[in-house]
Amino acid sequence: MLPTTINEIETFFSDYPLRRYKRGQVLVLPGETAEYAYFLVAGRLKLYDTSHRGDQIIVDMFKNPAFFPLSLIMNRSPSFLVHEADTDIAVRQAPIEAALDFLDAHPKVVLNLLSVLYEKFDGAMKRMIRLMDSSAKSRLVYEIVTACYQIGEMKSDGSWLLALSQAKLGARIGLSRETVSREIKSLKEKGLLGVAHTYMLIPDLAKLKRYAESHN
Amino acid sequence: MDDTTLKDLDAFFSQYPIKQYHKDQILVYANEDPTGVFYLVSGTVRKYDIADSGDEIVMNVFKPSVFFPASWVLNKTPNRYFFQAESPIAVRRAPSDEFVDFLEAHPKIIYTLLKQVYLGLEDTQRRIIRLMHGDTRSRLLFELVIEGRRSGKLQADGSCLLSITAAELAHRAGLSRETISRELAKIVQDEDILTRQGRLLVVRDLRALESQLGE
Repeated sequence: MLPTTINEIETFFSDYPLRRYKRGQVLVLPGETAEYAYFLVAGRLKLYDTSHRGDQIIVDMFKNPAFFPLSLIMNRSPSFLVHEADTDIAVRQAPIEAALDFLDAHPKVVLNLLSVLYEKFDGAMKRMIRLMDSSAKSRLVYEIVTACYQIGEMKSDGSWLLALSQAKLGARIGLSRETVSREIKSLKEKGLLGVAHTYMLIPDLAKLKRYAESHN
Repeated sequence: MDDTTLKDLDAFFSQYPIKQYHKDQILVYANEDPTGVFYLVSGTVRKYDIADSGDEIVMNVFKPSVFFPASWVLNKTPNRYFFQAESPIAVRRAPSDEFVDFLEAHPKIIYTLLKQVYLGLEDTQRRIIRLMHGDTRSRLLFELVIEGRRSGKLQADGSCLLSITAAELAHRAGLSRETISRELAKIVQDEDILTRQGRLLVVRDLRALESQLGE
């Protein structure tokens, strides 16, 4: 989002109180419509479906700042995904009508949200292509790169820190934790990433991307 | 899209000449910048990528009143996909800067587009879920539901006519044509969901199929 868009959205939501949710708390359940429009001020949210085996299939993740669930509030449709706090989070929640009035009155914000959404849409399509036609390694690397952009943190030396467990990475691409662990070990041996506690460190994201493209 | 949005889009693009393309003609090549923004007046266009195996992976099929490539227009990101006529088509083409100016002057259109793209994103996310944990049958049925919603001809008795080949379904579901043909034959023979009518597929009850798939 453009800084001006973030400012406008922050200003709108600043009229509403801050609420905190613990990790694991659910904001929207499948089949439910949204009760509020939310602005994620701190923390991280995950959107997932559950497979018939009971595994989580993580479809999307985002960190602050984020305005959600826009699709549900604009289309007045029920969710098909669980919206759950992936870490402790802080949100401001506004009545849906007020959020829709805000969007009506701020076309530049809507245009920027549309631009961002088209990128997200393309990202989802690329992910779909990977799922249809790629090796486990390529799917994993693509997911690490995507996760860096979505929820990672870029350091001043250009490296990236990614706080995402191997189980969660597996849930995002339909691979078992064991397969993810094996592929990560091989990437580690090639010096393409490092693993420390709950973090992954990617020294050179562009190099990792090139590696995935050459091994697809 | 609502009628007002369609009228406004039609009015903007009507200032540019109409151009006809034959079936299978490529309008935009992957990794090439388009010559402008296209507006589909008639026919269908598919957006696809080519996998390393050489197979086509269809990402979207556009019907009239859609403009493309949208991400390139709004974000100036390089275009990575092919856009090819799936039938004989008619399009109008406008300079992208003029189109962006037009959008900025028509907030209601932007708002409608945002709503619509979110629905498209949800379809893609559902497809991702199917790919990750769906079996062949559910992946095929899901593509039939999507085709029914987008291009199917709903009949008075609740059935829905689909004009789609096994090869097209295979491209969308990421399965081989042989697998799709085998699965289709099995479903037509064993289940009361689908029948054939010449080259058309008939979904007996689209709503029932949607609920069966949890859609």
